[in-house]
Amino acid sequence: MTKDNHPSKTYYPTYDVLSQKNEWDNVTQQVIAERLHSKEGNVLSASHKRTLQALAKCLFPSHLGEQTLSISMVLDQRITNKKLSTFPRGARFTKEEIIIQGLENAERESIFHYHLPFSQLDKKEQLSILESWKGNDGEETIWNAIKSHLFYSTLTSELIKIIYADPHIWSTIGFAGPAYPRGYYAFGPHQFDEWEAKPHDENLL
Amino acid sequence: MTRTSCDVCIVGAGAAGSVVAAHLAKAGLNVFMLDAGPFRSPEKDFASDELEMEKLFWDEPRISEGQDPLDLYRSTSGKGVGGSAVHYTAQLLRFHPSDFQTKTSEDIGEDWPISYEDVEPYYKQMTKRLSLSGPSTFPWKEFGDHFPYPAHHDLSNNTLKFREGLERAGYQHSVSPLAILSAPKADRHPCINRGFCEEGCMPDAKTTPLNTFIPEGLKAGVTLISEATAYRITTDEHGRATSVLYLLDGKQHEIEATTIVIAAYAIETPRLLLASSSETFPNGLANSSDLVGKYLLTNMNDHVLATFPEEIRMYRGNPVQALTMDTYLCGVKYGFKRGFIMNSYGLRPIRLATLFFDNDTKCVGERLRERMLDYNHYVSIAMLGEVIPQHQNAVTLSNQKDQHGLPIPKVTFSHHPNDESIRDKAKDVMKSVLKKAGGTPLYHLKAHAHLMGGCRMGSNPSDSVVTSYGQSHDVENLFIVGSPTFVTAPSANPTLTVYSLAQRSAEYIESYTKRAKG
Repeated sequence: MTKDNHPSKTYYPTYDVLSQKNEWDNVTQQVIAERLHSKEGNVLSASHKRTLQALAKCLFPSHLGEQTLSISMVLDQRITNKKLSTFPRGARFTKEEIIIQGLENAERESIFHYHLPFSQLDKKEQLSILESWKGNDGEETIWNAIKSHLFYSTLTSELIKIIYADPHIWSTIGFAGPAYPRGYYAFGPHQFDEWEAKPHDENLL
Repeated sequence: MTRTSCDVCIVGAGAAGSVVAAHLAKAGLNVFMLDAGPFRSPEKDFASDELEMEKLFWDEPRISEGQDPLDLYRSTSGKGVGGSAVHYTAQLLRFHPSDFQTKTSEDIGEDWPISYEDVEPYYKQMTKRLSLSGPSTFPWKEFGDHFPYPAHHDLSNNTLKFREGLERAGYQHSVSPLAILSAPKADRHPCINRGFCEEGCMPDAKTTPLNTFIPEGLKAGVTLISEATAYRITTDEHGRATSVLYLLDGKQHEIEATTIVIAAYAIETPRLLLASSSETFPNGLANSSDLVGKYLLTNMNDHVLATFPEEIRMYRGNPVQALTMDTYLCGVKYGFKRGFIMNSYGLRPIRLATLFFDNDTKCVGERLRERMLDYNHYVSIAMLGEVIPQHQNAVTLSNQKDQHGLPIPKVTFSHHPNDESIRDKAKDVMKSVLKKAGGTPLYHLKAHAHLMGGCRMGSNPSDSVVTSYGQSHDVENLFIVGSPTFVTAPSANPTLTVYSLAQRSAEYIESYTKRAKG
């Protein structure tokens, strides 16, 4: 691809990976259904979630127009289920501790600078705060043990996992998703199985 | 506290521990095996999903520091019966004869106390027992030969482009030797090209401890205790290991054993030894050399991605399908030591998006979306590169405590200048191969895979922790098996050597234990 013909939109506007969900094994069907209809976890507060949603909109503006998961609910579930119990590289706190403390610090920083919760700031102000975290330790009075760059990288990494675990995002990039018990049978140049996204590049052949 | 006794207690039910357990139980010994993770069934507990299957990775805190801190979560860990071999790509290669003698041959690293010839009979045995598939003529016979199952024929576009590039660039290339069935075996079916090998093989076509040594061991009478965290090895006044203490369901338990085997991979093994210090062993168990935890090793596993005009769809088929070994010892030609191998290596979306961000923290939002929209046009290939052993790369115990009140391990890692030379050369070669295939190389994504070292083997008790059979120099009835005993980190994938050396150790442990029992 070159810049000139790069798609600003998906190559696969009509592909819907979920149309194939009945072909998936039962365990995977259940895993994806639970993700799409995630229940409330019991770790993040309403305030955490408001800040998180506002941050996610800043970090992934156009992804959010395409994805359908409730990021805050899936992340809350993952924290509740102890999926964020390891330390990121170079850190001595769990990912869970970094994200929860970071969300609280973000709120404090917003109030410190603008006298408003982060979620109520306008986009420019939100981006200005977010930008100041990248590669920086952060406002010393707010970001003590957990530095702002660590929160930024940890949160972003976790959100990337959730976004690219969304079947609607899979459809957008043309990823065929779960493939058991059916597998792939058509192999060879430009051979694909019927249930995958229809090739978009036939004019190139 | 409950107390049990047995002939052999094994800590860790991965590739090494399961081989030892199966062998000893078949030899008539009473074997207990502990594993910190659950005992999963591929059909019921696995899913075709990246996020869900993160549960196969180690999920407890570890501190990772140094100039090049390692990601200790994914390709360097495994949690659950079967260990990291449950989510490996299953490319199984022998090490090269020179891998055992790097000090002698290239004046770098250290020599192993054994040679290729010592391991070769076990390589042959494991090639059969693991039902390896591979080509009838493998261009590099030292790395593998006489595969009992035919090579896989359904090669992905990702692999075809890689092979095309290698062919045009003048490199030999081949379908990889894989522990993935290419034809039926008993009640197991061949691979259906689902692609989620690194998420655990739901169809059970991939050969892992879960469908080989674990069931063999259970049938022969092994007592497997899953979700059991070993936290201390006790010793008596004569300096012999006496029991393993472990936690299960929040309670403490003890297993007394004639022989104790630690098979807990490269972080938990030194962690357990260091945490078992006592008046007799103030520096930690088996640590008179002060080398427990030292010389930790990994492999560089960088990817290069190129875009192609046509659709590739790298998600189709198993991630690793073809390779070249021509660059294995290329350093001698370019002014550095040792070398690397190259593979086709398809990535699923979470893994790719995460690698993009790990390598470029600006790759979020629009930039990430733009890159990921081209997902189906990428060819992804990877190198596996040798890392030079260094004393300062180590596992130690931190002052922080985990949920059980046990010290959290700290891993310190920095690359050797030779590692960087290998990495730079591999990047250039991978880019040139992708260009020759007609692609436009765009991204070099650094990563690591595998852990080794930390309890290196050797003949001299002052500069090694165990013998070539894994027997502690200090504690006669204590054995360490698996990759922690490795002296160097060859660029061939390590797991065939783990299985093979575990079998060699198992035979020795059998005679030792039978003698010790009288």
